[in-house]
Amino acid sequence: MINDDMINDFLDSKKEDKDLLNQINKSEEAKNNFDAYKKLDSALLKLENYELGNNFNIAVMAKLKKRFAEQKKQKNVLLAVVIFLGAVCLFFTGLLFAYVLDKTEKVTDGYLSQNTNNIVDKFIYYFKQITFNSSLNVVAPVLAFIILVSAYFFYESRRQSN
Amino acid sequence: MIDIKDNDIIDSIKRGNVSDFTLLIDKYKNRAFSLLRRMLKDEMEAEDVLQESFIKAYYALPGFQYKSKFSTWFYRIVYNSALTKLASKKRNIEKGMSSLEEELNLTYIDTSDDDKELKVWINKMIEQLPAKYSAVINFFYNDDLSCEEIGEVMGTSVSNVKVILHRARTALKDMMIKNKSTEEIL
Repeated sequence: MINDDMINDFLDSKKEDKDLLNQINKSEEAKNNFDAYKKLDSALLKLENYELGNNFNIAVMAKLKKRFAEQKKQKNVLLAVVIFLGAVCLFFTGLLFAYVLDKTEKVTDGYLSQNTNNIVDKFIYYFKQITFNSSLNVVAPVLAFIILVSAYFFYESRRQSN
Repeated sequence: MIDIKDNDIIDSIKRGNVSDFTLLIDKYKNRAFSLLRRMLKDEMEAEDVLQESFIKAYYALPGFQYKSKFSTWFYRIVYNSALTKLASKKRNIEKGMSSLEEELNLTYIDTSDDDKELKVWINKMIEQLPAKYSAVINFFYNDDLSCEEIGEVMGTSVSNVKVILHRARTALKDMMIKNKSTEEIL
């Protein structure tokens, strides 16, 4: 008994199968079914491509160029953010050093000169003093908030562009 | 026109010759567009998805390892982009055979006088099929890919490809038999 799967396998292989053809020719129903498949197969073999014009190439290349420009812009934004954060860090480090050196010069006697002999210990001591300073307690969260918001918007812009 | 091999074009693009990407676009745009039109059943959407597919391919080119043919690799991008598009439109792309049969029972292709061209007729029939069936028919007949290559593109087994191909062909044959004017066209 010739079934659809056998005919489909025959069409997949694209090879002559004389045994199958002989069996098909024995039954009128199988022959009609096979002929229908063959007609369809030959029609599908003539399947043609849909065509796109040259404008398509131009459109794709234009989109690519736009993406390149966006990426360049993003790199510049990233660079600006890094420079800004670097500058902020440098500013505070400089401020701290200036504070430490200033205090070191002024304090000659007392607790500090007696208990700290090197610049690192002095640095730690004044860093603790500054971090407990009330004005810095206000500035630091504000700065952290600004950095977090900037990071969020930067991440979003990267995500959308991808 | 000189036939430049895909790998040579890719090497050139990787070296920084972005404009050579147009050679790949020219070579594959019509075949990929045909696949997308048959899967998405919409010309504008097909063009948009194809543009995005080419851009995805461009950015993924540095990772292309030459292990498979560029055509297979690129078709995988196009095919997956089409599936993503269909999913985003909440279309039911995973139709079982029962739903396919239900759909085909409703099918009647109107081959009016103007449409009595084989090309139009066969494309209309393929448009009646679910996206995956249209894709397999397109790969097998239009792109002359083997079942192994189709499996690689679709990320499925050869036996599964054959099942889809057989079902699609049988569905098309049934449509053809139902349509009385088929004999005239063929």
